[in-house]
Amino acid sequence: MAVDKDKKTGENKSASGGRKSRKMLIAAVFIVAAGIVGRIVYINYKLPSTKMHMVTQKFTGHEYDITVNDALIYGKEQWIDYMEANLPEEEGFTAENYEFIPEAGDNYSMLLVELSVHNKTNKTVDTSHIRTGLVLMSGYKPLGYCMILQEKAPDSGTVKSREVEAGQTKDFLCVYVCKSEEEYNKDLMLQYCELGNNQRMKLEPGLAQQ
Amino acid sequence: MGAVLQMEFKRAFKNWRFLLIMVVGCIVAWLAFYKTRDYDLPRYWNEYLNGNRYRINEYAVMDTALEVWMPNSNYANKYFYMLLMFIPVLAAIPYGAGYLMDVKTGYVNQIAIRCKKSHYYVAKLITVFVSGGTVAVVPFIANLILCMCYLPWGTPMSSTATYPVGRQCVFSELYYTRPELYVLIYILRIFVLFGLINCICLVFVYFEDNVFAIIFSPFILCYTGSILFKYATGNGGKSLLGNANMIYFYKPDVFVWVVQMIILAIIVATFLIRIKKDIVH
Repeated sequence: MAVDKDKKTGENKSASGGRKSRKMLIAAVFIVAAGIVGRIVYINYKLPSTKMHMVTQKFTGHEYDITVNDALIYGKEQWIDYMEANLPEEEGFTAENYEFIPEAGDNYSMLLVELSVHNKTNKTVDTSHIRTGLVLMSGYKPLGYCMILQEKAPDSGTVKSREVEAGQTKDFLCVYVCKSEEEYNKDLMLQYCELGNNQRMKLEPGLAQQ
Repeated sequence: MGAVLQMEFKRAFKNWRFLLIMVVGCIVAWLAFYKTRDYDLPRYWNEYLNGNRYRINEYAVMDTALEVWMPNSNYANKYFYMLLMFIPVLAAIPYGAGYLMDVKTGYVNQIAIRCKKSHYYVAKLITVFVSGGTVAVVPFIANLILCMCYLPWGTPMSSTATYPVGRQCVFSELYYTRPELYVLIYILRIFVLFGLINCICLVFVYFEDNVFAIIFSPFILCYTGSILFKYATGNGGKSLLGNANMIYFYKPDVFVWVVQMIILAIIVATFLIRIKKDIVH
């Protein structure tokens, strides 16, 4: 009957129906694709740290224990932006008061930032010893930026860092804390760390500006 | 040439077998994500986004989308293992036996009088290559999209030692600096590898005229190669299928891999010898 009617009216309903269903299919595909893209954008925006990485580790120091719950990795720009935006001034961590000494038994989160450090001797980037910087966190609030360094290399006089590995339980040899990466004075830090091993370095307020 | 190629692509991609295999590939990718331990982290973070922060604050280990991508788990992810094992068969199902069917139905004779024979054969080779490569990469892309729907994209850090790509792995430098480029190369490599493997179907038409035998020929050849490598060198990981997952593809194995790829390409190119033969079967 429908075919007869089509013949009479000159309309091919099945063809137009096919076109309609194809359009609907294309529309459905676009909607699903838009939903997926939206979800990906949302996830990258919403999660507290885009470009992050959490590692559960326990570090044991001479004077303190730090249980690392979270280690969040940021890209350089994101890290600085996040640091600027979230520095917990209400807790007393201001630009003038950026030193931070962990206490025994404290439970802190840490933000891992991978850095390559210039070799002081030949001014090249020492890629064989990628430094792992840690940012002490309280919850998701950064408290300060620090650098974990290893012993001084006996022959070259340069400073090697310890790569932080999952499950590693070692001492902090020295910790350099400052407000942000911008204030982190590499040369000064290296000078500090050349002073000796097994020392935790404190950055006195204002020292970074010297 | 363009018209023949277009027609061949239409025949390869607009058929129910291709759609079916695409759906199967996506289902395996879905299973590899949701039904394995890889989903634990995304689930915790999903709970976190919905207000339940307990697991994230207490236990969760955060990572990037790349960490839960199925190739990272390699054979620990049974769905990924199954997928990698059967990709040669899956890739051959949509269009691997296309040439044999053309021969059997006499289509090849019809087309030969309407266009240049060489055009038809080259178009067939390209189409089977692209069809096989597409079937192979879709599950990888689908799984990555699923991962990215739960975890943010990010650059992995080598010093955390939580990623399987070590210094000995091929393109490990890219993995830790430009992960998007690494993923692109990974997918391209899978595309080329399984595209070439799929073209074995065309060559086997010389020896076999059974459709099922043709479809299984890449699978049989690949696993024969893998077993031979295992018994000859004691390391099946050097075979094409053994290191199909680039995350576990090591720099010392590159030479052996290149040699195998060249041999495979030569085998595939022998299909074009047919151009010089009488086309009427």
